[in-house]
Amino acid sequence: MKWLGTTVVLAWSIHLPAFAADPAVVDLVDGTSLHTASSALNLPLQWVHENTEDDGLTTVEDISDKALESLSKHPLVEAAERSQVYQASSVFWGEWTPNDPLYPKQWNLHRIHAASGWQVGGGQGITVAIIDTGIRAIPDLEGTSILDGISFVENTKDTTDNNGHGTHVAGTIAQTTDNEIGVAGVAPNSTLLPIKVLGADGFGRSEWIAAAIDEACDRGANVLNLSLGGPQSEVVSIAVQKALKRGVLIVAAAGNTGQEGVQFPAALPGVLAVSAVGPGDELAPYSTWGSSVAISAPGGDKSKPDGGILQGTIDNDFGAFQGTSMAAPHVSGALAALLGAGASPDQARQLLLATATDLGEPGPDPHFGQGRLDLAAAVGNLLINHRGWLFFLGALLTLGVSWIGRFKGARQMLAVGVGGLSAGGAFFLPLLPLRPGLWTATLAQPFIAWPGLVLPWFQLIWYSAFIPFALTFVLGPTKRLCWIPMGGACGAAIALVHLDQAPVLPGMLGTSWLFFNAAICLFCALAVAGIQKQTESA
Amino acid sequence: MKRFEGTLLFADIGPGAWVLETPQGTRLSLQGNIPAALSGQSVTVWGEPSDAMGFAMTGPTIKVARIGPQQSGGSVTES
Repeated sequence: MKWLGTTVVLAWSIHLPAFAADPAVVDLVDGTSLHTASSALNLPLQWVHENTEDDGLTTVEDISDKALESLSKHPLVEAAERSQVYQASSVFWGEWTPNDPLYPKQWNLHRIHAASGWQVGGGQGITVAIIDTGIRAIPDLEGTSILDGISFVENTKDTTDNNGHGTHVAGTIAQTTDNEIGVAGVAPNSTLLPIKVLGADGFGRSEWIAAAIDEACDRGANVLNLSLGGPQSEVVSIAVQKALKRGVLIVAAAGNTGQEGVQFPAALPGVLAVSAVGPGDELAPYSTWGSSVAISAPGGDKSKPDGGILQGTIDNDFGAFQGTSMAAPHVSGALAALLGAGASPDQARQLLLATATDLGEPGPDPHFGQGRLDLAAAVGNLLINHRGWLFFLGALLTLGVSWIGRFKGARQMLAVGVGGLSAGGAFFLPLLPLRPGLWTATLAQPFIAWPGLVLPWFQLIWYSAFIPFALTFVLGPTKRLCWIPMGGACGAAIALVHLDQAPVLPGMLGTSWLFFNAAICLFCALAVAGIQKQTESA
Repeated sequence: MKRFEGTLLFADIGPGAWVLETPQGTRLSLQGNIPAALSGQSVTVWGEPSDAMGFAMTGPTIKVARIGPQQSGGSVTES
């Protein structure tokens, strides 16, 4: 494991203006040889890359704007423009590199910036159901949490993969990472739930898949990965609708027809249908596309050098596969990382779609959906725009209430700091070049979420005014530590009202619980302010 | 039972999947025992459309009852 100290993760690209000194890009008519074009245009053209010969992309140095303009009108030239500079920019200060020896070959993980997901816990506490051919416990999955699954395939009781597909899919989601073996996964700290619905021949029945979806939900899966498809099925549709109503996220492969017409069940409303891109961010030639495509992700393109998706297979080797089956688990892993970082299911889904890198036609299109998955952009958005905003609100509320209590100097600053941290957590920690670990991921969540991460059995207590009230009762009257309940209660109030839903309690009941407890938190902070003001006056 | 004709291919999808590429360009996904020796050859497949799901997702699935070298040219036919 090592840090690339100066590496900057591409989260958003900043387009810098071109200068006359920059080289020009000349896109030749397909099939034109370099020699013919160089002679006809009287320019020392060079291929952009040896692989761009088919595309006709060339570059030329030292060319004036006027010559460039006339060049674009030449019959051998499709387009000519000044080379644009794209500078990497990001909220992340570095990209951690795991010690898995084949990680450098995993262009797919680099492309989606999987490292940013590791910075926020790598899917810790999240269960992803692999509804597939099963999972084989290969050496590079030894450190991965895999639950006892279930097989719906007839005459097959265990979930051991005897095809290779499911193990590869599972590896993309949660291959043990930084273990000095093989490859890495998108959300290596998530828990896998293997549910076998496809036999060794790669086929399964619709009723098995419907039962698998129900079973996965019953066993607490947060994300279902369906790298499979087939004819429409009413029972599968019903199972999918029930799962979506339970807040479970469903990711499915768009299909491998190379044509328009997203396959079932990916085409069902609410399911995240994933098309596949190759290493050049082009739609993979086999990928199905259509209006139902929500997002695209690396699925591999083996017609390109090292263009497959490398992952562990059942023969204890690492195989490069291609298919939308390989693209879908990137999205499932990314969702697991966001959910593990504290995003709600709706928030995780919206973040992934909103921050995808736009490809093809501007805006959503049938080939790439919202664009290609970019986990760094999604995580960065969650941390800065959401957590950072909560931090600011928590600090602001604390500032106001502490002013009522005549807090001054260090005591007020400490209260404001606790208020911010209590509402938004140490949201900036994952952005720093620190080794990914549970402690940074935990600290990056609002304080109110901490007890629940350690003791997940009493969620309703943790997501209440219980702790702020206890702190107020014990520390509120003290002069030296009153800033703790002051900031803690204000921050908790902000965090509670910004939660989508209370744990356990459904609908309006949950929302009422959150607002009622937020009001108690605010009352606690005002009580501390009142006590301290009275003490100050006395 | 229906008869389908085309080229038998082991498509490079996932760990690999048997498909019958018809003259129209449709890639029918084949379920059943497929003799690898026929790979790349023009074949005739006897079978029924299947409602099975799978990871191949190249096109409609055919449950193969019998497969052999192509007996006559042409597209997907029914016998």
